[in-house]
Amino acid sequence: MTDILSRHLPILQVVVALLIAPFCVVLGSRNLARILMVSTAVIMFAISVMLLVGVFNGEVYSYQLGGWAAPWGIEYRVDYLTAFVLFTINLIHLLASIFCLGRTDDNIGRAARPVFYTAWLLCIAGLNGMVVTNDAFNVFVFLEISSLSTYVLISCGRDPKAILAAYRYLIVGAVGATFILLSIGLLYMQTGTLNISDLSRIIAERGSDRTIIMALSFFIIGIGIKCAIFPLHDWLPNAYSFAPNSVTVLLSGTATKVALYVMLRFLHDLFGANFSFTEMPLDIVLILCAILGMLLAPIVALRESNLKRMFAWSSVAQISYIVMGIGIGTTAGTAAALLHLFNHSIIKVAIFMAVGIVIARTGTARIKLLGGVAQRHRFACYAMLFGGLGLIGIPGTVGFVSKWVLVTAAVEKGWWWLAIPVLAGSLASAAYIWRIVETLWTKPIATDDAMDGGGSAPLDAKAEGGSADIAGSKKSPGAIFRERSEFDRTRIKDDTRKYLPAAVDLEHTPTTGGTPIHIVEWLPLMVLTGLALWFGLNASFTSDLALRAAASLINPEPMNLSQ
Amino acid sequence: MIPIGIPIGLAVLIPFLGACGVVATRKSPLVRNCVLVISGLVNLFLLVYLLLVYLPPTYLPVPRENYATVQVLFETLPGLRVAFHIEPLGLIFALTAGLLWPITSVYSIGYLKAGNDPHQTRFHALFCVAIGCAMGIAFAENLFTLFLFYEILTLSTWPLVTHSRTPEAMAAGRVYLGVLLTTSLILFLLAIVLVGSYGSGLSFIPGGVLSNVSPTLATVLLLLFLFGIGKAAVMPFHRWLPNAMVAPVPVSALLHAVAVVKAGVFSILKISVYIFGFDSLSSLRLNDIMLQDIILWIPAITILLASVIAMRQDDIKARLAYSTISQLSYIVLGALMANQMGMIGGAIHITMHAFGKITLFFCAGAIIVFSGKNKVSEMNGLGRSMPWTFVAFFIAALSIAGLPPAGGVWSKWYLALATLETGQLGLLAVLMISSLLNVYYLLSIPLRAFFLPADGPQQALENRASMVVPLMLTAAVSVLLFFIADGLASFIGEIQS
Repeated sequence: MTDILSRHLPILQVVVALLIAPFCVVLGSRNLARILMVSTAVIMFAISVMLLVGVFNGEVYSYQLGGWAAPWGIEYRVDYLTAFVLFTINLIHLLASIFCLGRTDDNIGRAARPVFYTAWLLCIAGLNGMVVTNDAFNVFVFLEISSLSTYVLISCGRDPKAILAAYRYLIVGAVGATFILLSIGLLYMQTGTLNISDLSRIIAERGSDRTIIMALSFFIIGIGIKCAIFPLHDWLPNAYSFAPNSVTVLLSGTATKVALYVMLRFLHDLFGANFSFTEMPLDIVLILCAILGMLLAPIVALRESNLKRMFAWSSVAQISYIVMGIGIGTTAGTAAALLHLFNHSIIKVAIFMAVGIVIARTGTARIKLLGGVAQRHRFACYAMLFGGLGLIGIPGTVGFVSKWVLVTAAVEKGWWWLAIPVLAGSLASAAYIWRIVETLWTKPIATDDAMDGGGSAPLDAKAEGGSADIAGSKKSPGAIFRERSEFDRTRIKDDTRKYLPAAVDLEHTPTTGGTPIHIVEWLPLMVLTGLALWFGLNASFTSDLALRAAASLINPEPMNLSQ
Repeated sequence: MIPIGIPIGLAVLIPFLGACGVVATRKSPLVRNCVLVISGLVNLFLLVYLLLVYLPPTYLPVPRENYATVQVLFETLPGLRVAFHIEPLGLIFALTAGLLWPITSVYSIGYLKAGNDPHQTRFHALFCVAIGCAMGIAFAENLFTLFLFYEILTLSTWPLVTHSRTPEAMAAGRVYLGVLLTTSLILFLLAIVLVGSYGSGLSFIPGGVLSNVSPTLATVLLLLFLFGIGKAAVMPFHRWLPNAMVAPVPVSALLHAVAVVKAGVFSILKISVYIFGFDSLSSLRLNDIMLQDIILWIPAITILLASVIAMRQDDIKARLAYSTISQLSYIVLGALMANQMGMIGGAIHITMHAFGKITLFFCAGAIIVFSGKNKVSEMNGLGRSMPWTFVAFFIAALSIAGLPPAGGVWSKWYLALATLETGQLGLLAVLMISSLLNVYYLLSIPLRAFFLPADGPQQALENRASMVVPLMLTAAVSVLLFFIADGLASFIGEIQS
């Protein structure tokens, strides 16, 4: 029995969520849907842990879908790298699912909830499928499943412009997916196979030709859009800032990470490292994009007026570190990329949870209006601060560990100058993080004066709309006010702070006011912060895992890890 | 093997526990203040115990070789571990900070009460954290541990610098964090990464870990460390220190005269002794040009320029800040001269200057609180209203200027001997001129207070014992140090480099 179960783990990883998703709608009950969603998340996490343990015991899972043998049928394959990424995204998914039960997204009505949960489960099923499959076309299929459900999820955002953001992401995402499809089509044309291992073998035997080069170019642009690599990142800040809080949490920890995994898998396994990095100058291209991203994105983040969007820009910057690791291309570099993939997932997800809690409680994401919020929402703000220190890479945090590994990998390859943009980038992150710290802790609490700058409603309308990137219809102040009071009944309570005198001494006023944070909100945040703290001080587990995963990708035969 | 890792770990941990205690007892100021002072005393007791354990073998029942002196807490990555060890330089630094911590606690309790500060708990708690970081730096066994506590120290002192939350304080806080984070995250961290990649490990080992590194790379590393450790305030990265003077006086006193800045110069001293080693430090050359001779002039210029700027400051805290910058570079100079005398001079100057400068800051704070004056030019005749304060000021000024009977004379003596050993008479001249300038800009203040006629009516102003007693105590220790400097010097001299 256990044997059968163990053999079917790779397919179960994907199929459980796919099967359960429709039931969330069919059953029609919000509570049942909730239970279904969270239990699915638990099962999926358990499966990913079992896969990881299995891989650690030396097993390489290869599952023939429908019993059709590998080059013809679809093969699901789990090695160290796959298990590592599966573990990461299912861990994040579990915590995000719990967080999603909280009150951060009250605007999604009772009726819409089951659909929301269905889209959520389909999204994570698609992401898991992209990781687990060893079939190029199947990657595309799962990519579409996850993308389409992501558009639905983003459009659930409380701001009406979320629909526009989702639509924009749909256009850009569809372009990206088409590029990937073109690439896979070209590959099939040349080789007549879709199995990644088979493709890899045939390409290595035949050598490259113009069609394969075209396939690589199409692929890198398409997947670049999905990963939000620097010049192709345009969709990410909008999508993250308008999506419901819990969706931002889920996406920031899984979607781009899976796309990065697919990129790694294709570059090293399908096209072959020799072709991608030696024949084609992809290492230079990726590193150049990474340097630009890690230096420019923090500058944009520094000028951003919306808290969520600011951290979205910081994601663009942080993805650049992963891309740089991929660009370095050595085992150490890839291990650094994978380590940061995990580390960035846990800190950024924690940050977006904290941001979600703060936004839901104060009713605004506009940084200007968040002055002194730390007095009220201590736990969330400290979690945000801790995550922020991780983004900067202060020693003792996970961010430091991954930057250390990355810089060491660069120096090892003789590219020591890469250290300079990496360190300068972390300094640039310090600038925007500290801007938030100053606002949340030391600025006086927003008063009527601040709110009245041009009337509170238009101010907030702009706040929710970010820097007016998306053209949306202006609403009447009254409508926005009504909307806000609907969204956040708690806000009314919280708003008593508006009537406090500006210079009130907060150390002596009770700070327990405001809506208490619900357990489903603080528990995942606490778990993530604890993980970040632990892996920041003792990174032996994560770094060992990342090193094994990188070794399994670059050097498929087992290598001596003691070196 | 008798493990002394536990007392070392405790010495680092107790200030952090003190911070927790202070926060936990915030409801009752009395209990909170007791927690604060007691944790300081417990910490001091532990440090004295460590000193006794580490004293030369004649004092010990068990030879030193029988003590396990390295304590590994955990390993972050292979080769990147948080570990503590005990050696003379660190012990001196830890003892200096540990001795001054309870004294400063008493003083700051008085100071904050006098100002009716609404955020005393936050202040005391962060103060404890900063001391804990200083202990961590003092006992760090490798560059990573040192860097870890160095950065926490930067971040935890930021709320202290911006304590008043005024726009000026926030602006100063930005400069403070900007300079310290820029230098440390870019230059210092880069240097550590390079040491880790090209040297033989990050641990502090007598004789250094860079023996098989090319002189060019070693020079680059030295410069990266010199400027990257922004807390040492070597020009041109000194701007944060005068800016940080917007902080309450006890912060300026302990952190910006002792813990923070001394953490910087201590790091440089430790790196020059245990990462470079004197041999590779004195063999830096680029095509026959002895680079060490040129690099030595970087702190030398800082010594002179900062003294000149200090002369022109009328605000007493600003004058003391520039004086600190100048004195810090004495220690940096001692570290870079790469000889036994320089190391001894630099190390004991950490202690001498700490006691002298903290006394001066205590006095400045007393003057500001009691008389409300902070301009040197307004202090005429103030000595008769505040005799104790100005006597203490006088003694501390003697110590800083390097005149007997105060401790500062010995550190300057060793530094002068070290310059002779390097054969650079120009450096000796710099030390002499700077001492003269010290006499001018520091001793003129008590002289003005005692001998010039007062502007207003005279009355006894020193009415708060918690502020006056600490400053007399530290001044007394400055005199005491004059007599025990020899012991300190021979203690440091044991390091074989």
